[in-house]
Amino acid sequence: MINNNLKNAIAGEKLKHYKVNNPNLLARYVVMMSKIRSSASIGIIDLMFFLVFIVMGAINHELIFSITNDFNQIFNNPLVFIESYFYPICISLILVTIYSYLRTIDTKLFNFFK
Amino acid sequence: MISDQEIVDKCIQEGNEHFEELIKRHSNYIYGFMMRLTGGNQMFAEDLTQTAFLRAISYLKSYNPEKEFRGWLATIAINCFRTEIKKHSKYNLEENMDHISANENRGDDQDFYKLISHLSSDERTILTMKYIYDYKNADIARDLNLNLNTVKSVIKRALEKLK
Repeated sequence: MINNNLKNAIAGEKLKHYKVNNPNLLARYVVMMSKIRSSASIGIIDLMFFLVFIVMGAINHELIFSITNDFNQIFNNPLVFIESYFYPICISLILVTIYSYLRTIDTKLFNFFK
Repeated sequence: MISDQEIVDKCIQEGNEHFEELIKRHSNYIYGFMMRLTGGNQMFAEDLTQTAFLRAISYLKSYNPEKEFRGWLATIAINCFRTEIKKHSKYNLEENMDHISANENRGDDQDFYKLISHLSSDERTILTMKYIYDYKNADIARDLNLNLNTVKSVIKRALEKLK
């Protein structure tokens, strides 16, 4: 059985209406945080591209060593560097673009993996 | 007005942007619930409200439309509260009450918090659910993942402590 004191306290508490200071701000913050959380998680696309980069790096390891050795040319002679490594730079940029594009639509494409 | 279920479907199909509307609709209810569970600790209640909504977004696909959306959110929020209490076992409602009374002159409004301040967090949670939000014992047992008899005995024990 509830005593009268508790009954009154419950009745008084029920009458109170609590309000969040700024619901719009809270809503925006939560949605923004949820996006950051999901983009920080590792998905199937990340694993797939990790493998692609590793395999491509292993196949073209000589090219990677040569780019590393000539890296100072970016500052000394950028045009020569771009001319020498034009195709590898283009392929890397294309791969990164595809990776970022697929990552944004990852959830819709690969829902069945999650 | 578009229903909660329709917004949930939109969130799943089109993205989390639509969840903003659900937060605006239910934030006061969840915040109020958390204020009661935390004994009026505004900052803790705000943190728990945020965490609950974030968790709700990540579990949105598991939402069962047969259950009221607000009730589902409340269950998540209560479990967030219980997890946080377990993590920070030092949290003490009575100490928190002193902090509140030092900062705010709330007079008799604190009666409920004062009465339940010496109870354990589970006892406070169950009493709040039962007497403030009119949950049935079976619903409390289901939401807190407890045995029905455990819920009954916790309520009995808590009421005896309050005598």
